[in-house]
Amino acid sequence: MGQLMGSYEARNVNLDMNDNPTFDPHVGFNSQRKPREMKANLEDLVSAKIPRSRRDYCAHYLLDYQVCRYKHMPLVYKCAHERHDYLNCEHADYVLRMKEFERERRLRVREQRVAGAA
Amino acid sequence: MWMSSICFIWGVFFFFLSLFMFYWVIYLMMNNIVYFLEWEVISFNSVKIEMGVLFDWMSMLFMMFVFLISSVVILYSKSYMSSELNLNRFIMLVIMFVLSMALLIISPNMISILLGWDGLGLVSYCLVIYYQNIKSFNAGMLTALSNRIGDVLILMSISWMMNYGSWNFYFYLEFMKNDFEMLVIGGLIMAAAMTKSAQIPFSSWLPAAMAAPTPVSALVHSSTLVTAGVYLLIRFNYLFIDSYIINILLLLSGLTMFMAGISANYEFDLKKIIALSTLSQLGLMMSILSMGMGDLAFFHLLTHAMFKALLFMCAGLIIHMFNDIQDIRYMGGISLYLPLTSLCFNIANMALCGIPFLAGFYSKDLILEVVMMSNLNLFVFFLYFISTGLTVFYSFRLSMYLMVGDYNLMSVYNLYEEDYVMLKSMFILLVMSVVSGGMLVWMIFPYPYMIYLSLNMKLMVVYVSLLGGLMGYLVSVMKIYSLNKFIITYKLSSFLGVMWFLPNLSTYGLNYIFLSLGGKMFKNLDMGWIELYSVRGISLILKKNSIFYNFFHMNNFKIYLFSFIMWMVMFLFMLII
Amino acid sequence: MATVPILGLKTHSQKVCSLYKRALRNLESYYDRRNVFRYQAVLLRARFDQNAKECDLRKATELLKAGEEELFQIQHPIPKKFAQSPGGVAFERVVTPPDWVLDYWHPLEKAQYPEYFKKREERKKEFIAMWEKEYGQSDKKNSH
Repeated sequence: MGQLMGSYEARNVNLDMNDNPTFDPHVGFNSQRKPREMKANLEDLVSAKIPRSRRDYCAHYLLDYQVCRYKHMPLVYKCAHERHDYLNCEHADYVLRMKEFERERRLRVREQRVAGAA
Repeated sequence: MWMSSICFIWGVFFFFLSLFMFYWVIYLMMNNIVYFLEWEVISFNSVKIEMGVLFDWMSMLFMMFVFLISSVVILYSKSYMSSELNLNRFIMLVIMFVLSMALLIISPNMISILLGWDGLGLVSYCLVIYYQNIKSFNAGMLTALSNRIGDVLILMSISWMMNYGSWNFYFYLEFMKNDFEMLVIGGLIMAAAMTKSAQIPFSSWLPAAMAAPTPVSALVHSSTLVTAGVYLLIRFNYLFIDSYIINILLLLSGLTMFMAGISANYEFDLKKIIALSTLSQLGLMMSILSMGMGDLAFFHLLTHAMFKALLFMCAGLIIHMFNDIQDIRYMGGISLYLPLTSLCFNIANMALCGIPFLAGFYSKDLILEVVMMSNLNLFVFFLYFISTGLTVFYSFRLSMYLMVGDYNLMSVYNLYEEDYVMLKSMFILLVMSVVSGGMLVWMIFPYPYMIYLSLNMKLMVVYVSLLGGLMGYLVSVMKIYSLNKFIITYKLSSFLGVMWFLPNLSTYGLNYIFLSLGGKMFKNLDMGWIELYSVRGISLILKKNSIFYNFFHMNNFKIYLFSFIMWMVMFLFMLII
Repeated sequence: MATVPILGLKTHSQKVCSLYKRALRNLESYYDRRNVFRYQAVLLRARFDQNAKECDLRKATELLKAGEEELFQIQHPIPKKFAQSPGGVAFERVVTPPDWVLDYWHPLEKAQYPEYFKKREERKKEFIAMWEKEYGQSDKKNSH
């Protein structure tokens, strides 16, 4: 239901959750923004057989978690720290994507307002 | 002397088998190894027919749970079915069932899945009709025919799969996703899993199959037979991830979840309530599977097997004490007179509702949180949460009927619980149903799910559970001055009390025309015209014909005169012309 | 109680008693707790007692018909039945084999219980004699 309430405003500007950002990344920012980079090698991910959907920007924490799991199996609860790190990174990524979505929505609203005033 | 009884031998054997499987689970999961053994039967051009056995951690884990529950059930039935003269036959049937299930679990190709699937259906029919009264026969018929539909659908999918040259579906799931044939196969498999796991069009057999003895219900209808469909779909999960056909399953399983939850509130037979609760949880498993999260469905399958088998076994002990009465209106005061049973019952019920840190909490709560994080239709979302509330509703109502109050059957009674054979088996499952949730949630998820929810959304599960619990309390408290909610909403209660008339639709609705046509044909043809014509008629025809031929055979003089005249006429004719 | 020459005929009071018993059982399905049931049963009995002294049989049959109709409309979809009674869960679960099955035993099996089978034929004759003393000889033309 969060998606229902959250996307209520976004429907007015035709913004869907799967859309990519359409504006220039530096519009409205004073400082330079760096593109995100992956910290895990592709070969490491392939050799650890991590599924494609999980090869995102937090995959290095995931690799650490897998290593720790292998060391401690079956007492995997000892890996709680690595799991916490991975989930925190995923959380930060989620928040970042939420902020990007909101930025896109506001820029579109501003565009409509500017077009309406002109 | 009791050590040589068949129950003890097989029970202990299956228990040690399950411990052996546990070791394999750890080993296979740790090293991320899959053992896929193949024996080739024939291989030419692009056809490769082979017999395969698949050992990966998922099949080993499921086999471990199946063997554990079956060992506990066999030990339990030593005492439950002690008055049975043919106990050996019963144990043999249970063992055949477990072997069919094991065959289904480890097979990666459709033919051996069909063998296991058909074996399950057939042996469960034999087990349901074990007590040979009319009710059991009807229930067995319903079970066997509903499962048979699934068998036919799997047979059809086998013939479609020959199109690809081999029946090892494992190799086709990722690569042939966009083929039309694969979509057809997927649809057929989905429908077959729906019949086995009793989703909405085929859900009438599960409450009816409660005519089986209780150990059978604990093994078959809680953890193994009905989860075979879910397991098959988990194996086929990669096929359905981006397809549209799985939305049908989402809708139907959500409706099943809801319908079973509501019907369990109006039901008064103890085993039927637990059967409807199984149906509701199966709907939950299927619906989370149809959203693409097969590992969550598998997790819930395993924890559900534990506490549902425990619930059935407690119900069995209670029924045994009450001399075969299954109606909860006759029961009461279990917590006073059968304290250990009520301990197991309460813990299993709490695990079912998702009380924190018992087994069911980890699987159910994780499912609900992932549902909240995903992009869903509002209707389906409501179905999930209302069904969770309904689960607590009927569990609470059941506890109130059984535990609170006093014994309702007679005024003088003697309930005893010192049947330690049954209780010891229940304790094994009790320990597992408390511990297995926490144990599995660490082991099964190599790639954890990230959940980020606001406080109210996170607590929505708690709100819905508390609301359900409150309703369950209010419905079952009955004083002299309280209104009778059943009579006041009589039409609605009768509709919901017979499971929305689905059993009647599936049996009378579909079959009445054909059965009555068959009856009319029997009366008119078999006992009518065919009696006249083929019984008497053939002999009359033969008699007349043989009289006719006898005329020629006996060299009647008329033949010679007639042939003489015929030749003279022909001769004169030819002379004239 | 229905000792009439033709089966299926019941007197008015028998019908009323049958309706009362079925209504009580129906009430028991709704009100589980015994004390609540007792209260409702007393109320039901008061309803029956109100019209008990009806002398006009036409009105009495009309009341009976209305009562049957009301019971049909209110009947519980899942009535509370005992397990071993017809319609219950455990009905006919354990059947005792009929006596004539013993005649079909193999002689080796019969030899396991020699004392019993020695006396069995005489017991059968005694049983037939007891039956004929009680109920009289049966028609010869009906048996084959």
